[in-house]
Amino acid sequence: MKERNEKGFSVRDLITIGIFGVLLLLCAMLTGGPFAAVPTLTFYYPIGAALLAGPVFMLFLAKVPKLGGLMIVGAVLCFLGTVTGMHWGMNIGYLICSCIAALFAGLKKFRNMGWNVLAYIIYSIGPMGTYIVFFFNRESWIGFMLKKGTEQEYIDQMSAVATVQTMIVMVVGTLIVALLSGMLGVKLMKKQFVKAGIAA
Amino acid sequence: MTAELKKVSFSYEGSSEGALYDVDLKIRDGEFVVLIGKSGCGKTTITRLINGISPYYLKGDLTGEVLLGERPVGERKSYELAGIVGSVFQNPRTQFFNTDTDSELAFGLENMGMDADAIIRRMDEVTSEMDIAYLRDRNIFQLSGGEKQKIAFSGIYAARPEIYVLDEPSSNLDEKGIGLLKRSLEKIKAQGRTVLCAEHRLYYLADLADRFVWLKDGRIKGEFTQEEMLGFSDETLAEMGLRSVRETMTDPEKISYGDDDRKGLRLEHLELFRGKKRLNDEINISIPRGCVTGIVGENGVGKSTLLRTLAGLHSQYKGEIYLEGAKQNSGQLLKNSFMVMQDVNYQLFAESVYRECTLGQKGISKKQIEEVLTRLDLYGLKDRHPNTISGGQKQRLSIAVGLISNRDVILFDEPTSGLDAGNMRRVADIVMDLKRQDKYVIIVSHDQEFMNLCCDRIIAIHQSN
Amino acid sequence: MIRLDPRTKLFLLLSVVLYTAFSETGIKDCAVIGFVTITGMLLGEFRKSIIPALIWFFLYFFALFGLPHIEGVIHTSLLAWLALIFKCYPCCMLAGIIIHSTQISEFMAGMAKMKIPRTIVIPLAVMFRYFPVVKEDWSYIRDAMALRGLRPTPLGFIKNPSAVIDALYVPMLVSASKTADELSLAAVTRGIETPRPRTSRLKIRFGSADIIILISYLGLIIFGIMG
Repeated sequence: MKERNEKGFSVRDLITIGIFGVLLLLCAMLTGGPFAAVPTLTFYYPIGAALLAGPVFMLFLAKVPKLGGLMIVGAVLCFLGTVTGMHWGMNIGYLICSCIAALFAGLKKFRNMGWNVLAYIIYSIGPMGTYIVFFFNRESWIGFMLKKGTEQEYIDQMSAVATVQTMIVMVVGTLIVALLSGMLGVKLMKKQFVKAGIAA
Repeated sequence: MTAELKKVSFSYEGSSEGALYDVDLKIRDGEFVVLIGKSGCGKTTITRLINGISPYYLKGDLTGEVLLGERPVGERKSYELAGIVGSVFQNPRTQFFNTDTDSELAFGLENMGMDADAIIRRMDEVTSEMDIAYLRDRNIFQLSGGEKQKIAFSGIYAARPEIYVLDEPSSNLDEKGIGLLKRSLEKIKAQGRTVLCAEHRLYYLADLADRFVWLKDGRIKGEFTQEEMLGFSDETLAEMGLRSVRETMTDPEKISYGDDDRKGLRLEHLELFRGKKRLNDEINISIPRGCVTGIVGENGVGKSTLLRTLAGLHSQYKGEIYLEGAKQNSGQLLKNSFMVMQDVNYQLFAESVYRECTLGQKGISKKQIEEVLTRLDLYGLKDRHPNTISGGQKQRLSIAVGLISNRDVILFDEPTSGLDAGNMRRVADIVMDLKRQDKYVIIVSHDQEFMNLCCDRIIAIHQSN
Repeated sequence: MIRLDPRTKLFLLLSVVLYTAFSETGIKDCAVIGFVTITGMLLGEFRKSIIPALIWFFLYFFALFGLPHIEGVIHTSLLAWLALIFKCYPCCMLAGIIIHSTQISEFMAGMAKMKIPRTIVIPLAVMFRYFPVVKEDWSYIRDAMALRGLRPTPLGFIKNPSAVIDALYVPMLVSASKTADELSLAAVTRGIETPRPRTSRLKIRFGSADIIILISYLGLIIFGIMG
């Protein structure tokens, strides 16, 4: 029986991608979901989504230290998101961010913890896609719901619905939470996962 | 199809567990060979050499030749071997690739490139030959362990392999599941297939096996025919570190519901519910201190639920539970009891054995912990990560946690799943020790041999009508 | 009731995605919702068609006639929230119908026929298969935590943060790792590494219903984006 060569993906790699893909997705839904469900907090979904997945992400990179690994995760999440009707902004966001994250972490062959955390931060930007699209495309999304009034009132409503502050909070909040979650991931790797023998 | 190991030595990368030293083993066409021995003796390794998992996936150093039908295993690719060797593993939960039974039956055939009509025909053949019509078109996650294993087996059977390799297939099964497994094995034996089975639980294989090969520390220590094996007394087998070859029946003397003892753990008019569904007939039991009580019953009747209820984890019930005269609610039960779960892996999450004992515990001295660890033969492992110790050791660690938390009620859910004879006896010893400490000990198990060793009483739970 | 090829269903979904990406939210969406409702009914998914359709029209009515009467912060929040809901609604609704009317095996067979590479197909199949496992694992972990006096709540976290973190992550990830190992051994010994394309027990074939629906959706989308 001949083993698959190092370049390609072994069956175990592909199965690991699937399993960890589920865990990453569920982490996002668990803590992000509540944000998305509340009207005033919906923009902060990416912040919530970044909270839990750090350790899962770090362990994944240790188990599948290949460029394509994270890229396939992005592709699969994009695909799944599409088939379940999620907005294309998030789906494409995951795809693009996963690929960029893979490139960054891959620069240091997935062995440098700092770069892996950076990769996780980049990965966490993905879900922002929807809200960024909304921000730049407000008129087409809400035009038909706006109160009929003066020109000024129209402009006021438009700017109120997605303020620059909200967007900044979303971006900065997500980056900070992703950093913390990634750091927790590094800590757990050292303290538990490597010793437990599952980091390979 | 024959199989042979010629002067084979093998050791896994980075570990000396399960290694083999200079093994010569010849398996004839149509022979049913059972590999027996303690955990870590190398019997699983032999199965892996035959189906090619080692050294190609679970890597290691191999010297000597492993032949399958006169050709070295290494000459064939994994997917070529898949058509010749059917592999059945221990854990029903991690063997199937699909979520529905039909897809799982067809999986191997689809890999082989059979066309749709041929696949459907083969599936129908297998359904009748394996008697699994009632399992067709169902969600695998809703099946019992035994049914899952049956589907796994049938899926492999569907590819019509010439040799079957099984690695402790009965580990996680109850009597019913073992019965289903046995029927499957009878079928392939009747078809003249070659079978190689590594096992701890021997009684269900006693009349199927042509030969038993006994391994110790990676070497073949002895080979026995069916008659010779059945001739061994249970004591001899215990000395060899093996389980009984005869089915153990529950000691009828032990069946009792307890007398009306006002003190102790009492269950009165207890009916368990899962949602709106009532699981069992009313339970009225009285359990005194220091009396080891075993609980048996059909699958799904609620044995685990009963245990979880007593642990304070399940609160959907009618009736009352008293501990030493005081009525208990779930919160109080949680404080007073500890449960060793069926899969202890969920219960162990610290970074070292020692830390596992201190986690969440207040006011426990170092001395106390060292005492408990020594008593359970875990002291030497105290700096190891819990995930790196053996199954038997993990179990003892979970028991250690329970002992340290100093709770009065200790509950066990299938404590001997997958344990070899030696470890099974160790658990029985620990249970007797708990008895001497006057704890309330309640055990749910389908392992009759184990129950007879350490239970004072056995209670049967019946399904609700 | 009609049967649709899973590839057709995928195309329908993609066309609605394209539509929502390139058109303004407004009255045209109601026509799309109507289309999706009819599609759902044809597939026999009555609950998944009628109820979401009713909810849509209720929300739409509210957006046009109720919302303008609301003031202040609530008005703004609802605007944003509804905007996102309306944008995602047609896709989500259709996705719900499709998921409920398609078996995983059908879906995988469709992917195989579309020659999607196994580097995507295998992870996807495993994802479907692992979702229920996580639920099971989670209930065991909750039990195990309760037995040790830990609670997976914010309060429980504050009382003993490192223990709660360990108790949540370690068993879940150890189980994931073990499952990956065991599942790949099982899959390999069943021939999954075959270089030949996998076949399917299901026959996936286009029919007249597929063609009609495909053309209708194509028309809808073109009209929706242009008109």
